[in-house]
Amino acid sequence: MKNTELEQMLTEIKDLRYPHTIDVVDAVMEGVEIAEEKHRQAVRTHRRIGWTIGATGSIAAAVAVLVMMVGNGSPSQAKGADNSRLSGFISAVYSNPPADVVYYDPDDIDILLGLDE
Amino acid sequence: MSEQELIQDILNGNRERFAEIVKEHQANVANLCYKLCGNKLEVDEVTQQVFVELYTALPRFRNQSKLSTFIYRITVNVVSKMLARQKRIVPEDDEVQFDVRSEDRNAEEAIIHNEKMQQLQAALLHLNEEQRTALVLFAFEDKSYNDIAAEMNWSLSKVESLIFRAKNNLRKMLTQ
Repeated sequence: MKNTELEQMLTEIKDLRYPHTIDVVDAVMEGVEIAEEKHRQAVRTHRRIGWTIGATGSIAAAVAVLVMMVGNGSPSQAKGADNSRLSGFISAVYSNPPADVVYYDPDDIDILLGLDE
Repeated sequence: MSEQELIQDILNGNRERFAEIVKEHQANVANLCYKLCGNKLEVDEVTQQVFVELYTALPRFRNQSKLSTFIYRITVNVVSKMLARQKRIVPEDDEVQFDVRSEDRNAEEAIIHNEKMQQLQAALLHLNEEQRTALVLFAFEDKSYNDIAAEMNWSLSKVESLIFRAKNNLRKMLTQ
């Protein structure tokens, strides 16, 4: 293909004009609002996921600390009894979703605070 | 208010001012879309999409180039993506009829010419982004090599090379 032929074809395309009046302002502003709302929702979802991971991680860490505390220093028989109550408590924590307020059984509080040794 | 001040105002939260950018540039975007794909896409739809993408890309816009250049690049990319997804078949009557100089061409030649023009439109969208941008700015927007170099922050030799290679690639694609 000759250079001149290509140049002519490009010029022909250049001379094209969309043959209708265009007015997309209202549609664009609606689209922009929708795009912003999607962005806000994405940010909220990201934060919610972050909080859930953080809360689960904190509970797991606290439980691990408790297990280590109970494992050090109790008499073996008392330790066995405490451990079985504690494991029951740990299972309850893992099987229940995190809540805003957690109600502990008074006996469990004693274990948590190390007051029953 | 300058272009930069308007953009800054929008980025500071004054979203309604974006309508001014749309009003100023929508005709150019529609024309460019029509040049690139004729009636193969709904020009109104593409134009809307270009401006919505422009809005989300505004924070990334660097004032080294003109806003119009930034908008052209988005237009070319949106057209390219939408054509790739589009399965619409344009009825023959709706196809763009390119300049048919009846005194120069008979009916058969006119049909062949029309097909070649459509092939050229398709070939343009197959160029890589830099070549396509350089050629569109040069061939369709009447920008000089220096203008393009300044707006795109390219060297003059890069612009020359891109346009040269773009034309070569177009010729190859059209003669295959």
